[in-house]
Amino acid sequence: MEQHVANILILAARYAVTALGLSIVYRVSGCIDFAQGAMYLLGAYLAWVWASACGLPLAAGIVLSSVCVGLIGMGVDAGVYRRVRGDKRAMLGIMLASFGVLVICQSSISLIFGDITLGLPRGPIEPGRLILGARVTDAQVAIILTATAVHLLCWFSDRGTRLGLKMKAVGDNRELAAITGVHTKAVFLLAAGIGSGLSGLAGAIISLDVDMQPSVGTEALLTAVLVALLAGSGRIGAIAVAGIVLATTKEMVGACVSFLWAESIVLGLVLTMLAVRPIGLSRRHREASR
Amino acid sequence: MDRLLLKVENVHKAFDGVKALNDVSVDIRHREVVGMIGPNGAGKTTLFNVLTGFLAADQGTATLRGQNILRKPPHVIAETGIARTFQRLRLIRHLTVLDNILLWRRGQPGERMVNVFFRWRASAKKEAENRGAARSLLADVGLSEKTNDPADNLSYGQQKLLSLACCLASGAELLLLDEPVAGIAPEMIEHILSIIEGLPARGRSVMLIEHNLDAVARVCSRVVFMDSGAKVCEGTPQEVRNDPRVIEAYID
Amino acid sequence: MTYIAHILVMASIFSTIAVSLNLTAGHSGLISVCQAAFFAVGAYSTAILTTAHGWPWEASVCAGACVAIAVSLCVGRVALRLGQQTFVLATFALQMIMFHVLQNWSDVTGGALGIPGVPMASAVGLQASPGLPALLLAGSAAVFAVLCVSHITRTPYGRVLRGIREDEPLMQSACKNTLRFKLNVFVLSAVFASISGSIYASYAGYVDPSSFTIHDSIFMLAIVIIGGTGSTRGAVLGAVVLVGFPEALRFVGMSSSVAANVRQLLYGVLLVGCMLWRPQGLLGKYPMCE
Repeated sequence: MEQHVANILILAARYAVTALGLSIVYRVSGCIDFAQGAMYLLGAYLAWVWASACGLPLAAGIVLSSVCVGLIGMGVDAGVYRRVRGDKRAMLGIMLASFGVLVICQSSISLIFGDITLGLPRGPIEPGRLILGARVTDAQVAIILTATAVHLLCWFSDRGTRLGLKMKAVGDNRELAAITGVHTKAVFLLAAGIGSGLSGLAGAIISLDVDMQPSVGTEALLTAVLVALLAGSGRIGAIAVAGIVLATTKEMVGACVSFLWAESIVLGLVLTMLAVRPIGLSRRHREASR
Repeated sequence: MDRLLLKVENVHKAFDGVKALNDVSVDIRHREVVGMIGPNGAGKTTLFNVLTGFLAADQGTATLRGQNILRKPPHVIAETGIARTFQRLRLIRHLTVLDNILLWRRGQPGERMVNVFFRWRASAKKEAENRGAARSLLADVGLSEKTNDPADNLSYGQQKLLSLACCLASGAELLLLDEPVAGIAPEMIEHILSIIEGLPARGRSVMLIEHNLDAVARVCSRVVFMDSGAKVCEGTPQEVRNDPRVIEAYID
Repeated sequence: MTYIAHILVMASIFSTIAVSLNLTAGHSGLISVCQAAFFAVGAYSTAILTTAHGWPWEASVCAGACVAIAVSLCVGRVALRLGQQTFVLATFALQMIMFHVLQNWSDVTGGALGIPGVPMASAVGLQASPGLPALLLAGSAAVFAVLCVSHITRTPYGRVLRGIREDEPLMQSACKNTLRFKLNVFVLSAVFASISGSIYASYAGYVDPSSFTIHDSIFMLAIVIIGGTGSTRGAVLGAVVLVGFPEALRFVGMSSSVAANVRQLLYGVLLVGCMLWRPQGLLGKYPMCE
């Protein structure tokens, strides 16, 4: 029983930290940025480059990789999305461009690193510590702590900082925010940087536990999308709750039915939920702007 | 007195605690042009949205020729006999003027997949008929020379005229026009108003939202004044114009 | 000569898919990334029914089409009520579910190894052996798809679809049951994708999950976008260019996995380039984003 709870917590932390980047970018720009899956992937592989190839300490490698990915995200925003966006809400255009970016990143990584599985240098395989009756590895503890810290940080800055306020303003009503003096382009750039950096961090930190392959990018994307669909509003708290709900459902389905099919069944459940409650990611004030 | 066409009773709609519509009741008879005036945010467009299925009323009833039209999908409500224009002008810009009109014609067999593949000749004949009718409608309203232009190429006033023409093409008995003459040149205002004036004679009723009080006074036989979600007063244009509450609202 | 025939066969198969996806995405504005899932339905139906159950090829095509209709109806009823972006996410989820099923339902689908030994297609007693016969089969399917879709787009039906693409609520005000329209084209494109899948399975002689991933779906979408949204000829041109050109890379001597990644990189770059500089694609008239 304790193991199940621990598994749920670990899984929820993974889901929540993976979804954070996508949600932040969505809140500000109103577009689904599929390239966040690529940022996750880049985070994992760059962490490998710094830690394994360059020999940096693991923590430094992870932090450096997140920063790099954040910068790459800003580059993509400035170089691609800004031009596609123009002055209008070209949501579809950005979404399609983000597909292109996702594909470019994933194929580049496949070409550079090959399709083999890589792992971060985390020392010999250990059985994990026994905490409150459940077996948890150090890596998994690190994931939970990082996810919690990052969520709290985002929650506080969302409420307390000027940047958080500006991001909300641009997300709610871009034209109005521009009129009141907010530099919308700068906000988009920063949101892209922060979101991508967080996705990269998620990729790096989760690679402590799970080995990396080029395909983990799209799987992380799927996770982020599911959490976002469930969370609906995109508020930081809602993401955490959605992560926990999703993790609990998957663990229960896995334990009762089959671990092999748990992923598909949960996907199917989310789709069914959309049938009953098709709010999806749209929020009320977006519909009112018809 | 003509028969009742639209009966709206005690409609309420709130957003997050703000009452956008507060116990609104209004009637429209056959062959009548009713104006709805009031300050911004009074709930006029909200009422239109509720009556055409874009918003769900919290309470109240509305019937068109006895059929309930609340809380139904927009296309079902439109089918019972309502056509509307939008405050923010809406057209299919990349289609031609003719195509825009054709889209609004009802009962097209060519719009059913079965007919597209299996009864194409009959559908094509009907389409040709519809084109003829659309062209004569465009001639009626004065947009003939723009027939094959993309709707985007029209001036703002012509686009407003086109959206009115689309409502006419639908054959709907009740037209809900949201600011049909706002923001356009005087000659076009005159033109559109004369079309609206002629609608009762063609068997249609109109409810229009406008801020242009002269336009309202000219074409409407009855005016409703709304403020803060409630119907404040109702009467002939003259009566409403002289009502102290209306004067106060517009002077402020 | 046979190599050129091979390229043309593949181009025809993808043309059929692209032309039908163009009806959904280009014409009606329904961006879908689950075409590979329906492609897989047809391919696996043919593979399973012809190898394990000895069905004739034509019957397996019909069976595949029926499954495609069933799946697209169920998913479409739910997903098509959602906003444009959420619809993309729902198709994304469907695609991932399909891939999981193909990978994990080993008893039926052969899992990651797939199903080998799929017999050649045979219609009206003739066998579609590689070379000209296969080209005739694939080409006829492509021609049939082009004729169907061109016909639809020139009718009032097509006009309503273009209206839905630009302003769906306005079409609802004009008495159009937009859900019915969207559902019909969604199902139709699923059927065409399934038929292409059946042709592909018997042409390649085997099926395995790696041909039916999210990246293949994005590839199909990219063909539509790059070729030209809303243009049937554009879809065909896009298929010929994006399928034919990378096949020529094999001549340069690249190994097939490297070639696959280079192909992905190429179309990713083309997709991004399209969104930046020519959003309506090569032959399209109206860009995807307003």
